[in-house]
Amino acid sequence: MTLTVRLFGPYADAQGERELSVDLPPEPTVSLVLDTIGSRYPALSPLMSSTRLAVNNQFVPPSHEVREGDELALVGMVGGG
Amino acid sequence: MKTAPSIEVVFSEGPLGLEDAVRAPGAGAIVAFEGVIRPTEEGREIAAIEYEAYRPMAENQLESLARAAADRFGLAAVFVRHSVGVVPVGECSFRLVVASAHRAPALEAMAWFIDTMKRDVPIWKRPVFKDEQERGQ
Repeated sequence: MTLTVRLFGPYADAQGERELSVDLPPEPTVSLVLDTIGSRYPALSPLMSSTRLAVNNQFVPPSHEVREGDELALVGMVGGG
Repeated sequence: MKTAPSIEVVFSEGPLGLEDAVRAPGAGAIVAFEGVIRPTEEGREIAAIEYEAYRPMAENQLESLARAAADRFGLAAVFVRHSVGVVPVGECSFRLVVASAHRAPALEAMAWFIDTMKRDVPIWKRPVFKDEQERGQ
């Protein structure tokens, strides 16, 4: 399955894009999605140790399985206020 | 019966303006914090900070955080305002107002809310450095 992952802030700056398309086996876990992004996108890999994957606007455990149509975004290194 | 706390989360484009005083039924302490743009970042002069938010998630997270703070500290009200877009030096980009029966929980809630927000709420800031801005003109 192909997942679209939205990028903001330092992720968008590092990658030079606002979203990624990532090919993965069906219903991958959040851990697999993050590991795959870290290995396929060298510009993002330095940021991945402090990154979480938001699924449908929420943080979920690493074992959570991602489904077709889920809204995904890389979140971490935030600093509002 | 305990009254439900008042919770309000609002995002605004650009600097936050002044607001009328907050009042909450039953509150004896109202504490307000304003985050204001400093003139330097990493030792360099800046003109502004540009804020970017993953809006639906940031709104959900701030509202959940406000409810969690109200439960944890027994607050009567939590009001949150955050800027998106460009906020010049000296202007306000974040305002948090909490109300409680007594001052101690309101003061504790402030620090807890801001620390948690900086970890869990998807809002990013990018400094607009003065020297880069001048080179771009």
